[in-house]
Amino acid sequence: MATHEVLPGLPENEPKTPQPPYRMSSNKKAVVIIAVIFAVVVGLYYANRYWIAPVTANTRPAAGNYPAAPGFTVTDLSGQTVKLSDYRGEVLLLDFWATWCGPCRMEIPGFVKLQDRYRDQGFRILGISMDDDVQPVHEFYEQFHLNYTVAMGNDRLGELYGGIIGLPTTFLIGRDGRIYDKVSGAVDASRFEQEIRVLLAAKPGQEVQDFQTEGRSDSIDVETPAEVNSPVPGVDLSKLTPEQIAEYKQMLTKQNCTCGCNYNLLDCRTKDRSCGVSKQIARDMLAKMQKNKI
Amino acid sequence: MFALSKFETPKRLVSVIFAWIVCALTCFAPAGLAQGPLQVVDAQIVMASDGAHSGSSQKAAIVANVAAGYHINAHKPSFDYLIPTEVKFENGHAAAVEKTMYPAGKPQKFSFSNDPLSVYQGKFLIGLVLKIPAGIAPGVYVMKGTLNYQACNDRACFAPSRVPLALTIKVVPANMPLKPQNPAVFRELRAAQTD
Repeated sequence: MATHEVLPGLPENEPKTPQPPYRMSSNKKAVVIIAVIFAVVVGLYYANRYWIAPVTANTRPAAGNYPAAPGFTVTDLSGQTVKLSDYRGEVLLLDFWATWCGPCRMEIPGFVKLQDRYRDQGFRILGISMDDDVQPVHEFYEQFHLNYTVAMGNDRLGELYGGIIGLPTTFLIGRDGRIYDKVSGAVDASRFEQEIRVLLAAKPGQEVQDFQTEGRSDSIDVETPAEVNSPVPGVDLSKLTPEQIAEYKQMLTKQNCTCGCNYNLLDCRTKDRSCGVSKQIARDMLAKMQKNKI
Repeated sequence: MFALSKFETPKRLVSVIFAWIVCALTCFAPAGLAQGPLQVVDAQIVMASDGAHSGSSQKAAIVANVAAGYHINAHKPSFDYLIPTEVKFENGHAAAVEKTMYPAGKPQKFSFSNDPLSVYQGKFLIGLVLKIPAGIAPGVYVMKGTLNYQACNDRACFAPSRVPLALTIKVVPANMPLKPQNPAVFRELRAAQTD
């Protein structure tokens, strides 16, 4: 409905002449549209900076310098201790999976074939089951005739490998102990075959330069034990004094996470360790704090 | 003022902006599996009436919604190894869940499965029948529970999760009439095939 206002300077008792409905001139329309575009651009910039980029950023250092696989010790289905270092000098496919995960069950027969095909050349597979109980894992192992070691995993191990959000998640580790590929979600096992051949061709301890992934791949963001065990998960506070840690945590409580969780940064870090947004902001704040202290 | 002559037609300008936004979103979109959300189901409870009398039964419904692109296993999943969707309540002194009516799952084929799987996708309803004990004093009582589920998308599965539920039961004196509530939900619930 159109409204009729008294123009400034006109006495109120003057007869009011009906005004035509307000119409925006084409120039004003252009200004409004440009303002909308500007707002969208700024919105996308911040969405990318604080929401998308922290999740997708390639954390691999430049020049093909791949991150070292974090060491761990687990127990296999026969009760034997298995360490990552047991696979030193070999190419290792590390598969996080679970018996209740349909895509994992589809993928595993292909891994069995890969293990058969490349075992003699120094290729090994280690399955890390994220099941709560070992019994269904035993049954699955027998039923699917697994020919590689399977051990029981836990959330801590998952966190060490950057947080396992979905299963399966597969890491390919070279003879030099570096992670060359990470794939979340089921793929055909043949997807890894060419990569395995390339890594097998390297000498033990030698880094493979110009490694090319053979398909869809995820960023590798492994965590150090100091980051996993930190009071602010994902942020290494080992160089801070207790007073500085308290001050830092206080800072985190004063800023809300922008991932949409409605938590402050500290709560988001502790309640949702997989959140890439709060992790990146918390790390940035720590770097800024340390810079200011110098 | 600005050289906008080629955008003189507002519709054309809007189309260009829309195309630009789509292009920008595509360029910035993350590759591979999205990290989370871990909670892909939301749920709320609605009651069939505005109160209940002691010694009677009251109907309630859980209105749940699975986020687009995800599915959760039905209460009776297709295979033993799949984790079923289940509702659990801590039965309190104010009421007990007498019966839980789950919808039948919808058979759905996924790239990782040779056979269709019985799943819930999008909105689904779970019916509850509550038994209010005789002799309980009028008042408002809350029962806490969870909707337990395990979600997957077409390529990956996510750790078992749960949605907290709170069932608020208003016990009123026997001489107070009850008003029906949420008739559409309960009509839909009656029409749905239940396991």
